[in-house]
Amino acid sequence: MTNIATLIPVPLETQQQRLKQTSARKIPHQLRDRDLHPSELTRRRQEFAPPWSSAAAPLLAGRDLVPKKSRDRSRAGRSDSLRVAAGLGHVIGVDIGGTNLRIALSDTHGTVLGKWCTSIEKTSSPALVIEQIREGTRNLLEQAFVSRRSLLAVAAGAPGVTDGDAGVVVATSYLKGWRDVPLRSMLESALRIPAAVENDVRLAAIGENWTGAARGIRNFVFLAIGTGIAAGIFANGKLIHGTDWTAGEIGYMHVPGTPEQVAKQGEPGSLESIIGGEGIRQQWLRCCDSTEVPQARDLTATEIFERARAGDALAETVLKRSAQVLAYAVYNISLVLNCALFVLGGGVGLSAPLLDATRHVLEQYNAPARSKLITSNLGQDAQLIGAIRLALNKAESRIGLKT
Amino acid sequence: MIGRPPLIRQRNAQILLRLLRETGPCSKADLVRASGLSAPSVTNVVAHLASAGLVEPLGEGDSTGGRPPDIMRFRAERGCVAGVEIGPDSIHFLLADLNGRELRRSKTALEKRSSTPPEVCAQIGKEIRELLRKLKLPEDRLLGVVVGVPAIVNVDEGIVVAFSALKHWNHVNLGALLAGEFKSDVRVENDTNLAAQGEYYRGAAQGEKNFVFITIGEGVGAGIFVGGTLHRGSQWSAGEIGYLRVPNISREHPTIHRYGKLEKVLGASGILKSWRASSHGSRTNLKVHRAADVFDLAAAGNAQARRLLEQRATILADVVVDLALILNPSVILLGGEVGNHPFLLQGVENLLKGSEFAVVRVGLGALGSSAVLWGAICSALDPAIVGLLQPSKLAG
Repeated sequence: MTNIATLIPVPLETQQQRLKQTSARKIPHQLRDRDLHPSELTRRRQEFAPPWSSAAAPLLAGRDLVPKKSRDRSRAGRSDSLRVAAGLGHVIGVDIGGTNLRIALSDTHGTVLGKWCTSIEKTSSPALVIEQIREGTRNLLEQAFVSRRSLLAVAAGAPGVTDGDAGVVVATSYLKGWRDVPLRSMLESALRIPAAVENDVRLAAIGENWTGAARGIRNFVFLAIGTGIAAGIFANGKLIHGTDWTAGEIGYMHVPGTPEQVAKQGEPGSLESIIGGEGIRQQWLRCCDSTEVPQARDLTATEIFERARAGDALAETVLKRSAQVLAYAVYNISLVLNCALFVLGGGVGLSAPLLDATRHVLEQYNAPARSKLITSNLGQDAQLIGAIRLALNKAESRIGLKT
Repeated sequence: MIGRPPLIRQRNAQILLRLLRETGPCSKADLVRASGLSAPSVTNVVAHLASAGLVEPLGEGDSTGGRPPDIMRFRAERGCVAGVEIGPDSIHFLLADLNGRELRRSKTALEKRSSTPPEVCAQIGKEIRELLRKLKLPEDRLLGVVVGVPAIVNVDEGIVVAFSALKHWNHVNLGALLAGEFKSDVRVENDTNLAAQGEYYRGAAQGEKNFVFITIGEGVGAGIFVGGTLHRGSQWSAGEIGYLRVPNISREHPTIHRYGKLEKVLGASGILKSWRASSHGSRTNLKVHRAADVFDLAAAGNAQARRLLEQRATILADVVVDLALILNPSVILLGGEVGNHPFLLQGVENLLKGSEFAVVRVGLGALGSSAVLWGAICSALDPAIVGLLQPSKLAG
């Protein structure tokens, strides 16, 4: 007869930590003070084991089906072992934006079975966002006739500084009240599956590296230019996070005055204040103010750049200045990192006229090695695709397929 | 890993060697405890290491109740490694044992204009053999050589990709030329990368997994560490910040910003040129031979020198901020003939204090002009020891 000395119920996140460290499992409090026969103990263990182990069981059983050579896994994402096991599990990818929440359900192949989107403009507190994630997930599972038990993992991207190890969103200027939010443990509690969190730009970089323009490229930068500007950096095949998880926050990069122009007009400022979405609108308004001819003032960056391409001289000055500043940033970053490729994304970054103008400026610079500059072909979905990939990575590492 | 006995033994040998090297002499029991290997395995591996000359019994230690323990030590004198730095007008050498303990240093002159790559390689070979002779070490004790050059280097093949000072060295396969001089493994590496490696190994960046080492001398460059390893980039040219475009404010047209390469503004020649231009015509008997002299004058209170240093510090502070925003390192170290001047560091620190957001800690490299050599030694050590553990070598 075994004497079971037991403990208080262990919250899910601590369970996970312990699992990571040791192979021993905490026995839930229902077994407190009872002598149990070993076989009863085994049955109880299975019953109270963390929920995901039952989902993983079919995959573990299926391991023998996995051809030996595919156990030799390459890095991030190109694994054949899961392809064989496809259909045995699903993951959830979450993209938490400043105004919208997007969720996708995918199989282990990466095939998206459904997408769900809702506005979180009014309901952006962490607890409410989690609630909506829960609802969205339930919705997607229903619509795709997928059982909750087959969910292996969830990954979410947040628009701010995110500590991936601790699973905490440290700070974001896009969501009110989000400070030191323990997003990962909240997701795990809500969905009862392992979770991973990352910042949104890095998720987009993961997405590009997996199925987008940066497939197979070990050194590249995903540059998101929208309201803000940030970079997701891959170096030697891995993301750069930095010591405090703030690597890539280049919005604050100081841009000196434009060359060959009187200092006043090419005012120095931060990168974001000049070529972020608002910065470009400000440039345009200054142009409108400088001329007697009445102009349409309320234009988006994309519209301004299209006008420039169509020949509008005033819009052209905005495009030219923006391209110079963007080229300056790209050039600096490429000298530091020696990355082969820059992928531009975000509302402003996807503009074709901006791409052409920036490439033109870069051609005039001298550099030991040149970087290619392209726009993302994943559009709005880069983050979500990255979230799916991160969730798959999480699922793989939990069930030990990763070598 | 399928367990072919020699492979397992090699892996276990590496584990035990690492323990001995890191903690010093150990008893067999210590090794068993710390390595997690079984006692018979440890006995087996130690016997092989002893026959390869890598470990040696020191004798019996103090008994704590049972049989007195046999203390083993790592025989650092089993071999040596050489670090070489090709500088602007001289070549520096450093020999160290397998613990990285310095054995001997030397320096030879380098005739830039007349030296061809094969001549320089011959010079390197000759000097290292001479050093070994002076140390009374047979040549087969030399287990590895790493050479640092002020150039972009394809480290996989040992090819100098771009050498700004000696253009006729471009595309030279220095690795192959050097391999002809030595029986042991020879590698070529960019000197700033080696300096960063040196500071990580035993300088101011020990334990810092994410840091940048900026060298400012004749040239300007950066060695970048991410996650505890050197970041080289897709074409081995990560950290070429000498090419950064910075506003070069001209005195005649203060409202027009011309751009110049960072290296031209911040490098030693640029500073001297600025100094001479600004003090031209003014009565002065101040002796200025090197850029660092200008900073000494600034520290002593010379107004002109102060202005010059302020300008440079401003440019450098901007570079530091950019690096911090891109990489988020825990520290940025300054080194090189110009970079390691404390007054320049002070200027940069003051400017960073006034920044609107928390920037990064800056400091000076701790190894001074030896950073490259120590980085070379560090680079040479592990491969040298692993090389000794090859199954063929152990079988004997």
